[in-house]
Amino acid sequence: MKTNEETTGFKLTVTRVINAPCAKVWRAWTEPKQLAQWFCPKEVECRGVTADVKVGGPFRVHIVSDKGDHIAIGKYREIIPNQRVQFTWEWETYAMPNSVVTVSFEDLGATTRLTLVHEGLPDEEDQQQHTHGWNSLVEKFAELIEQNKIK
Amino acid sequence: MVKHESPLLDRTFAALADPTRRSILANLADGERCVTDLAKPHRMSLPAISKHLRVLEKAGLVCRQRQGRIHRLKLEAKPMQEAQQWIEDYRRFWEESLDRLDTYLKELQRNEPPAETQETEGLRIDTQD
Repeated sequence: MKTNEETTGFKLTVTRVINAPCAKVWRAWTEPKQLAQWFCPKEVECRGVTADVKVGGPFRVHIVSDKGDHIAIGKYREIIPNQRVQFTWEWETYAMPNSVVTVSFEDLGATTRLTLVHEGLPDEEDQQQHTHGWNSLVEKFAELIEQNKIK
Repeated sequence: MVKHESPLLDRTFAALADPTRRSILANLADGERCVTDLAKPHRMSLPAISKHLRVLEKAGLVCRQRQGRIHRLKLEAKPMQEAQQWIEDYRRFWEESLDRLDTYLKELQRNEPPAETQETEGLRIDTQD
């Protein structure tokens, strides 16, 4: 089956209920100083996060793994406080022109349902690698914020 | 004859229409390269090079091999072959033109008296009285 990369691409969804209030979760995802404390998967080192969190603002995430440096880049497309943040996502050495990540937050009172959708991934291998990466990142985020380690 | 309606040809020629991309292909003709090595000769950011690589990948001119998080690029010959076949049809055109010109010039030479003999006659000194 031929997939039209321009219109669909590959998609992944990660969802988790976080044991923390929505406003707190939102701040951790949208305040650059807080993002810098946690924004990468468990198995790698987060060397730096710079983000201009406004529509059209760029961000840059510097990750270091045992295989070397990987720089993720993108721009914010939509920011709806305590509800949704959307940004493009690609790598400095690997362009993914249609790749977009949408993170939604659902206020459940004392907890928050976080849903991350990454679509427009170029191929199946990208989808698999990013599923692994985002799952790990969200897990790490949940642990840290539930233990009150992100300020 | 190679057909003219071809998305593959569109993408190949569009990919070749950029000097940075042609330079990348020339580099890859010498062997596989990783992205940072391809970027080195150009004073261009990694994301910019990466976007050029995307165009080349979509045209099928290069393929990307992933070894974990390391990506290596390799040249793929087939789309270039199709482009060459398209141009080949025109090579016959200009070769035949040259052949026809060649034949025409030879005809011209045959129908005119040789210039050499005329000159000699002109210079011949008639010593007979």
